[in-house]
Amino acid sequence: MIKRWGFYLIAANLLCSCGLFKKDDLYGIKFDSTVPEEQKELLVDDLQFIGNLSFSNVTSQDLEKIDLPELSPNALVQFLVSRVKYIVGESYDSDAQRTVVSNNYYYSPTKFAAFQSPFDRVVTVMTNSGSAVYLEGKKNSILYSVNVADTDVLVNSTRVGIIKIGEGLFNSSRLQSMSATSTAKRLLRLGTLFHESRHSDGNGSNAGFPHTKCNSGDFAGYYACESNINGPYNLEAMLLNHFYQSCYGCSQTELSAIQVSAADAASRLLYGATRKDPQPEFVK
Amino acid sequence: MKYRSLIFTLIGITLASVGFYFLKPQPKIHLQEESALSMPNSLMPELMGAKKIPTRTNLDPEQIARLKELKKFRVYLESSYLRLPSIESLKLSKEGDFHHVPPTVIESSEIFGDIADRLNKNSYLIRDALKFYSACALNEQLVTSVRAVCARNLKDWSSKAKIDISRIEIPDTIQKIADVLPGRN
Repeated sequence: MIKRWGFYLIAANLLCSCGLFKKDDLYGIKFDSTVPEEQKELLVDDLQFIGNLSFSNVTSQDLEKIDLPELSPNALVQFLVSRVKYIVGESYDSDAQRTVVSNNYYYSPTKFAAFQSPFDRVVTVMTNSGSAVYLEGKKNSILYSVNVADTDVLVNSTRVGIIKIGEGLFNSSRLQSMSATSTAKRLLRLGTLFHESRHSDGNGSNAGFPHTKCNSGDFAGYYACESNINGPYNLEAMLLNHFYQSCYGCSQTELSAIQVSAADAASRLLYGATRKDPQPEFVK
Repeated sequence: MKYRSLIFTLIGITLASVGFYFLKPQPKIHLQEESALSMPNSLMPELMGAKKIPTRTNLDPEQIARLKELKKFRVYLESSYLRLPSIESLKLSKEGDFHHVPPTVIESSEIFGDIADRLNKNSYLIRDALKFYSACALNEQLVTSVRAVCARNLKDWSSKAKIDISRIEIPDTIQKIADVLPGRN
């Protein structure tokens, strides 16, 4: 009898150490060791929170912004898991973790030639690290692989899905009255995560759905604008508008924080923005 | 003799005319308080120079409490208005690359939340809040997203209080963003 219980205890310990009881592999998204434990827990809870969301008055324009047939918790989870595979911490150095797989690598010249944009030079702000490494490799004809979460990952697509998170995502000092675990904060973080996940899409000149330079306005001179109606900012604005409706029991300040964030994202859309093909590109 | 009577007559007529002019009641100059909403496109309506609330003795305690609350609210609006993030302050801040919503912008939600709380508690404050929202929405020096939130609040609260704001001409760029934002109702 004692032997049997001893066996159960050892088995339980083994299962725990294998991560089967851990929260850090939700939806198959892997966390790198650079992500602090408290940030990991918050993000895993955020991902689980998607199941609590409800959507009403979804318009065809809303669906066009996210390229989904419907807005539902399940559809959003599917959207996310196909674009976010790894989450790395602020200290993760993608330059140090990458290795050259092939020099003078041949990327599709047709798509590559289309890298010029009518909106001047385009860059991706480096928070979707996977997409950024892919675009840099494409620009320099180098195929990279990166080591993330103890795995060597071939960076052969914008869909490699390595998202870098920083303290700014969790810093509760930004709003004294909102804790990191409040519903509103969770919804704001999810908005940011969906924004970043969109950088895993696109092809040709639009690979990674890069931001474009703002020629005027609040962010003139910065690459903080958008020329796609289905790009990261517009997608984020649309989702935040729906998240606002899901912020049950939220204070007026929390609701205002979602409203202000939605306004900020919506204000980034440039006049004459068009819908772009979200299909990601791959190289073999 | 003839000339003398003619001169006296003329003097009499002149004196009568002058007397009539001075004795005629003057039209009263009607000093009407101009509302911010009647000057829709001024950048800073009289919100910032809000008039003092007169002390009256014939008011009941509830009215006195309301006036006190109104005065307090006006002072709060004045200081809050100055705390709203401007484009200039955004450019001077070294808080990031503007990829995501700047901290100074999201911090303004405390102001919007606080105002909403006060309006839900005391609906008689709405008119003053509308002045604040209109001044904010029309102020080109403020950050676009904040102006859009002001425009949205202006629409929501005016509709709740059934106050006509059609004379306030919000720029299209601001209104377009405000229209896609979630409303308070």
